[in-house]
Amino acid sequence: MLKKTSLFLVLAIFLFQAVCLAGSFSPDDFRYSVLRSSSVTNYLHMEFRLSDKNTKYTLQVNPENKRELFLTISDTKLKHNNLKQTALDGEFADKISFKDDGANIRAVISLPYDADQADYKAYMVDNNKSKSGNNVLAVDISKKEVQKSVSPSLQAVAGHVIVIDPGHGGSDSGAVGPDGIMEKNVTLAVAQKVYNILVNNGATVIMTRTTDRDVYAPNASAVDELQARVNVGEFTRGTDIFLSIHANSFSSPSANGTGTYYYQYSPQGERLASLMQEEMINANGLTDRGTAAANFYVLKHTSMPSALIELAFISNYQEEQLLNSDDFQETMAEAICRGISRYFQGS
Amino acid sequence: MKQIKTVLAVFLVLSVVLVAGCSSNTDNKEQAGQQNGQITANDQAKPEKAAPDKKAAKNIKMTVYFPDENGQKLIAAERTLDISTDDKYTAAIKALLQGPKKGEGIAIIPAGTKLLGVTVNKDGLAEVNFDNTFVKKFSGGSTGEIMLVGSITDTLTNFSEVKTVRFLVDGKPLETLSGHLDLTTPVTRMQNIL
Repeated sequence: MLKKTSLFLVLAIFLFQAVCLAGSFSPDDFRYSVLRSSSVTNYLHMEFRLSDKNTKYTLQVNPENKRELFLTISDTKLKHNNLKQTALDGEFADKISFKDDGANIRAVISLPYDADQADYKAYMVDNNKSKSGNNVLAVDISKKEVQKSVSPSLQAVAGHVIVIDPGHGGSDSGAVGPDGIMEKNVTLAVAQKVYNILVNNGATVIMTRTTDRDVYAPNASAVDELQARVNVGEFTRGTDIFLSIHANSFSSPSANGTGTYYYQYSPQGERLASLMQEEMINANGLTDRGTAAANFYVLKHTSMPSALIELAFISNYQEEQLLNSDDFQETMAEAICRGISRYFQGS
Repeated sequence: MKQIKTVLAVFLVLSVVLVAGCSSNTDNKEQAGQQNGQITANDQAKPEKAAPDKKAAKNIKMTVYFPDENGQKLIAAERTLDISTDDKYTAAIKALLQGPKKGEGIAIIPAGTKLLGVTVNKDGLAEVNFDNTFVKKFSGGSTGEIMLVGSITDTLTNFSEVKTVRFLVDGKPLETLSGHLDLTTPVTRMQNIL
């Protein structure tokens, strides 16, 4: 009896909204979830409840930013006419923001990778199958299969829990290179590549941040911010290793090279640092600054083996260009993952 | 109280004379250690207690450190510090502020930084107090932090009585420079960059 009543209530609400909101769309009419398409692959499924089933729509890559998809919904107005942004799952897409240009709605879907690595489609959901009611426009985003190939050299990461900390972020740009490249963006780009590789090889990976933001709060004290990153490692169940990714900087622009730090009382941290350092130097050919013990906050205060990577010097003009290049970021991410895999192979 | 001060002053003059008479560096350090046990940094600068002709004798030799250009090691630089107006700790930091000579590496304390004071307590904790230029003008990453903290810490711990160093900015303890080194606890000598 109760079930029937609530069913009627839901139907009534849908009917009411359909009548009242003809030709309009509110961000509240949006929902998303990560669904499973096979035993190993997932995809992001988004639903937009529209008032008219004949609404026209297009989904395309932003010609000026290959990490953005434009969903245009024609002849529809944004209710309240306000701009609203919603965070998405973080793996398939970072966020969606809605804008109303007077006639159409433009939704911008930000991806954490280039759109050419994704499969995406927009379609009207069959009314009989929709859970959200009638006239539902759906957008599905999945990663292309090539990305999911498991590398034999990385299989030892499977089943391990790895926390990745992209250094700085939000109100803290980190070091800034002579050309204006910011450390916080480089560290996040490399961390996301590391994330993708590790996840595709079966690891559980937690990021301290997945967007350009402070982990604790903007302009917080240094200790609050660093402790918030440590806490991600401490409060994640079963964290095996904590890895902080940085770009180096020095007052002398000639300083260059790749280096990795560990906490002096952690032999496992030292081993992790050495293996990643070896792989990075083999891959990038830069000056080998070696590994060193350092009293860094995130190393000292994490209880699991940890390491802090300094990819290269953003204060060095040549290395700044490298740090900003997708190829170099990918090379470094792969080398880091090989080092991590060797670490787990031996332990 | 006045009596104690007089005794201390006499002791200070005596030890300064002794220091001036010593030729080896290690002797210098031991004498400096004795001074420190009883005299705070600021009390040392009392020109009226020393005869004018002894002024030339108020020099000590010591080693200060500047980073190499690649930020990998500290380079030792010999300095003769004038401690007739400044205490030796202040004089040592001022030598770092003045920067290196050719071949001694690069300047590391951010340009324009003012030293507000150095104190050393009986437990061997040195507290170095800079104005906020120290942080505002700092632009390094991990390497910049290690070299800056290292040059100051390793220079001050050359005084054998100094065991650890805490950094203050405008009198308040500094937590980190730019988010790498944990400065919330006093820093010990950084031997691995010497």
